[in-house]
Amino acid sequence: MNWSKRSEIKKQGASESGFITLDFIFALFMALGFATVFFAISVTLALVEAAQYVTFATSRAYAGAHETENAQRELAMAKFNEIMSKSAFKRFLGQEWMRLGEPNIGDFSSEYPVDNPDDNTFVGVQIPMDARLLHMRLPLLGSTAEDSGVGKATLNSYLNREVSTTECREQFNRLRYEHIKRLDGAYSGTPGSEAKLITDNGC
Amino acid sequence: MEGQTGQMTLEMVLLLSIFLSLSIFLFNEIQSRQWVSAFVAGPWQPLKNMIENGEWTADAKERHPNLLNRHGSFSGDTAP
Repeated sequence: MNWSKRSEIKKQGASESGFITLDFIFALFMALGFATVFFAISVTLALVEAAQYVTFATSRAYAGAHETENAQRELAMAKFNEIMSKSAFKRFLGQEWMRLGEPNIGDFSSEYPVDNPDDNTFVGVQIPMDARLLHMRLPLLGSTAEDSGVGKATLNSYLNREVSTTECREQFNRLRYEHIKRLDGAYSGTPGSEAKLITDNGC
Repeated sequence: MEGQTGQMTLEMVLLLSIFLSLSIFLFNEIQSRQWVSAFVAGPWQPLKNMIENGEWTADAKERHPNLLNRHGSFSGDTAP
C-alpha cells in the first residue's frame, strides 16, 4: 500500500469519528440509565434489610416485660428513636432515598385471618416505609415508577409481648386470690384473718 | 477521491439522520410503553409481599409464618 492510499483511509476514518461519538453518547445514556435503575433497586433492597432490623429491634424492646403495657410501648419508642438518631440510620432511612414512618405498636391480629388466637399471635410493631429512590426520572428513558404505590410497604415484626407486672398482678394473682376467697367463707371472714394477696416474684 | 468527498459527506449525513431517527423512535417507544417503569414497578408487588409476609405470592398475607399452627406444650396430646 502506498503512502497516498494510507492517508486516504486515514482521512475517511477521521470523518467517521463524529458518527462514532454520537453512537457512543446514545449507548452511554442507555447504559447509565439501566445502571442507575439497577443501583436504585439494589440500594433499596439493602436499605429494606436495615429497616427490617430497626423494626425487629423496636419489637424486641416492646416484647420485654415491664411495669405496665404503656411502659413497654415507651421502651419500644425509645429504642426506635435511639436507632434512628444514629447518623448512619438517620442518613439512609430518614432522608430522600428511604423514609420510615412512625411505628405502630400493638396487636394486629385483626389484619390477618387468625384461626387459633393462642398460636397465631400478631403482637408487635409495624413501620410504614417509602423507598423514594425507586422514583426517578431518567433522561431519554423516562420515569422509573409511574404508580405512587411503588416503593411503599409496611415492615412488621411480631415477637409477641411478655405480660407486664400490672397485668400479671391484676389478671392472675388477684384472680387466684378471689378464687381462694370463694373456697371457704373463713378466708374472707373476720378482718385480719382473711387471705391476703401476696405477689411473689412470679410476675 | 478528491471529487468524491461531497458524496461521502452526504452519505454520512444520511446515515446520521437514519441513526438519529431510529434512536429517537426507540427512546420514544421506551417512554410511551413505560418499559423502565414496568421494569421497576412490575416486580414490586412480589417484593412487597416478601418484605411484609415472607412470601412472594399474592396471597402472602394468608400465608404469614405466624399463622402456622404450632404444637404448644400446653395443648397436650389427645388420649388414644
